[in-house]
Amino acid sequence: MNVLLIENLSKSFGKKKVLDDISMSLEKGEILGLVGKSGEGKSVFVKTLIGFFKPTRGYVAIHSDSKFPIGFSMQENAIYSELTVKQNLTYFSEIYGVPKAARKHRIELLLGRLNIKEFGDILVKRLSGGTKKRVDIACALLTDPEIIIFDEPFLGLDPGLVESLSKFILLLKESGKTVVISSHRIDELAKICTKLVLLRSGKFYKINKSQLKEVY
Amino acid sequence: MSGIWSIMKKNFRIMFNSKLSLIILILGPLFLMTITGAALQNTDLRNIKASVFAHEEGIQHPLKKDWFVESYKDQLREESFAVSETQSLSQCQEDVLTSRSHVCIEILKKDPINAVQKRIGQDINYETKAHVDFSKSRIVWGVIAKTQAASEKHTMKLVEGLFLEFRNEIDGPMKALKNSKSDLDSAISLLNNVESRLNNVETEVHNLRNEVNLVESGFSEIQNRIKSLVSAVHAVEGLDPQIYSLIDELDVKAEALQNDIVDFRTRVNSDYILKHVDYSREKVIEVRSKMVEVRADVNTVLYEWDEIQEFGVDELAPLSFTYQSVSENGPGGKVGRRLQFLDYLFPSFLMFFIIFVSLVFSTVTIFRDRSSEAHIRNMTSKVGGFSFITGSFFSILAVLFLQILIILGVSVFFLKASILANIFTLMLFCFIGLALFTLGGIALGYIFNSQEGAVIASVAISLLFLIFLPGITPTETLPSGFSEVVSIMPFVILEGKLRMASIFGVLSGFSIGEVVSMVFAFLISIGVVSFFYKSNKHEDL
Repeated sequence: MNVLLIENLSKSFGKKKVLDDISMSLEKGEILGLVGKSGEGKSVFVKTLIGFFKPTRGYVAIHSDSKFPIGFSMQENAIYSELTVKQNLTYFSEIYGVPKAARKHRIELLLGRLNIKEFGDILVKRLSGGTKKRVDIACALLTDPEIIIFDEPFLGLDPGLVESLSKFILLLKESGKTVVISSHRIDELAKICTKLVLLRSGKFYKINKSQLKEVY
Repeated sequence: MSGIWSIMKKNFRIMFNSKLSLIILILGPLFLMTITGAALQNTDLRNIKASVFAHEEGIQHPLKKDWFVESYKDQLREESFAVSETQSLSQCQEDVLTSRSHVCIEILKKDPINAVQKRIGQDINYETKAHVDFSKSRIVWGVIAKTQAASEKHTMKLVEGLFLEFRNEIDGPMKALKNSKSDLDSAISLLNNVESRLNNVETEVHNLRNEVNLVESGFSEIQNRIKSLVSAVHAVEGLDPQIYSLIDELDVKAEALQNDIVDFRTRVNSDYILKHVDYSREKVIEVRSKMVEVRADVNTVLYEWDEIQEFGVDELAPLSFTYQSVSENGPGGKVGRRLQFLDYLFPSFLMFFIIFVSLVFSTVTIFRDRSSEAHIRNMTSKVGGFSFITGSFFSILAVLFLQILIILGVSVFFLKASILANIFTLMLFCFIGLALFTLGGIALGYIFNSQEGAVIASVAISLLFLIFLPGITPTETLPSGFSEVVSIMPFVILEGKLRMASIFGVLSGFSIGEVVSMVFAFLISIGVVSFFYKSNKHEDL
């Protein structure tokens, strides 16, 4: 069953067409790897997918009963560096509409799952890059979404952290989540993705793992 | 509502998580006020040119060389005024309009308004009116304050002298009167005793008269019985003739005794005595009531004296001070207390702080949030734009209002600004100003897509408003059309309200024009915020 359906999606900024008539679908438990050179529009695609940019044409349909079916973790870590980890999680759980009764439990659960419990009361700006990324992922998972989108999740992480993040993404897949990853790390994508697409000149091209190094 | 509260909590946490922000928020106003206070504490205007015109009892006369006017002029000179005499009020006012003088001081004689003024203030019962030109409002409040201070000083000097003299003069007689009052009390008490004794005499006389009557009637009965006895004895014949002779003798003696009793009653003339007792008592009552009246008058005099003893010299204040604009439309009024330099600078300072800090702080806060990496989560959340704007608005407003409270507190307790009586009015107007300029700052934060642009715009607009603050550029000095536009600007209106509240303690309401201007400014700001929020919501900064 398709969880995510994209039909004829186009996005232009002025006269510049960044996404051009993209159509695709994803099923539950799939991991889509999105590759493409810098400036090809991977981040625009991700931001259109999460609803930050309005499509110029086409649509994104999500089959879900959840009010917040999409969670995302951005390249720049979409969290407040002047707040503590817990304050970030509390604030985003509030504005994402996580029920008050479930908030505390959900936050504690995510702190545990992402192994950041000990940093709960520390300001985000004092944390290392890897821990910040984990906080950002915790924010993405606050509403227990069905689709999770990662924009350059491995950027700036050391090999150990890259590996543990990959494992975590696979765990998400195992728990039935659908994942979209936009990244330049083709080795990691090859390891964990079930589907790969190349974004070039605004269009999607399906590729397989063996083509990855060739096209990139 | 929960969305608004979430945004507010987040904003407060961001502000207060940074120690530097917290220090700037709390200590900033303290530092600002300390610098301002230190800089302005000893500021004083010197060499104020004053034209003086004195009326004589309401009729315009050329300056009369009476002792009061002369001594008042001396006082002004002592206060470093350059005094010149004028021949008419119109000339005096003309001097101000043509800038030959900073102030025209009109001196009028006025009617006394209280007993003490009647008794001792006859010669100093004057009123001074300062005619000033509000188009020179950079110094006009200073001129008013300085002139008022000179008038008050002169008043105190005169009143203190006269009042002490008056008190010394009547101190001796009043002490004697106090002693005489106790003599009067003794005399009244003696008269009360006399009256009571006269009452006793009257009672005794009545008793005596009753006793005599009883004796007389009792003896009359005895005499009747003696007469019956005599008749009975004479009716019996053959008795010893000595008995007849003895019984007749008894009859004669009884009759003589009866006559003696009648004679005694006649001699004891109770009516006469009672008449004299009545007369005496009337006289006693009459004298006593006179004495009571005198005592009441003495009490009144002594009470007034006690009041005079406790009377503060400053309460006398025979020299009232008012000010008035030399132009027809200028403001006028009465200053209830002595003004300090800080007093007339304070409203402009407050308004400047409100404009500058509200605009810059809210612009920076909004822009910081927009440019934050977390902005994308806000924009894709369930919380709508209204909640984001409202939450940001109230969190910024709360912090700014805290700063205003700190400024007001510092002004009252450290700089001794006399604003405590009007603190709530000031807070109200400050709140309106903060709300308006915070909205303006929020609008700027959403209009610009670069931090430099937003900050420069907010600083530039603050400076533009600052230049047109009446404390900096008097509205009257602007070209007429421009001046009318500036005078209905919200910040000019609010500065006027703050001035009225802080100096005159007047909660002046808004005129319809002012309300329209304020509401229009709020609506424009809300409109701009909404428009640019929507259009820039999906902008990637």
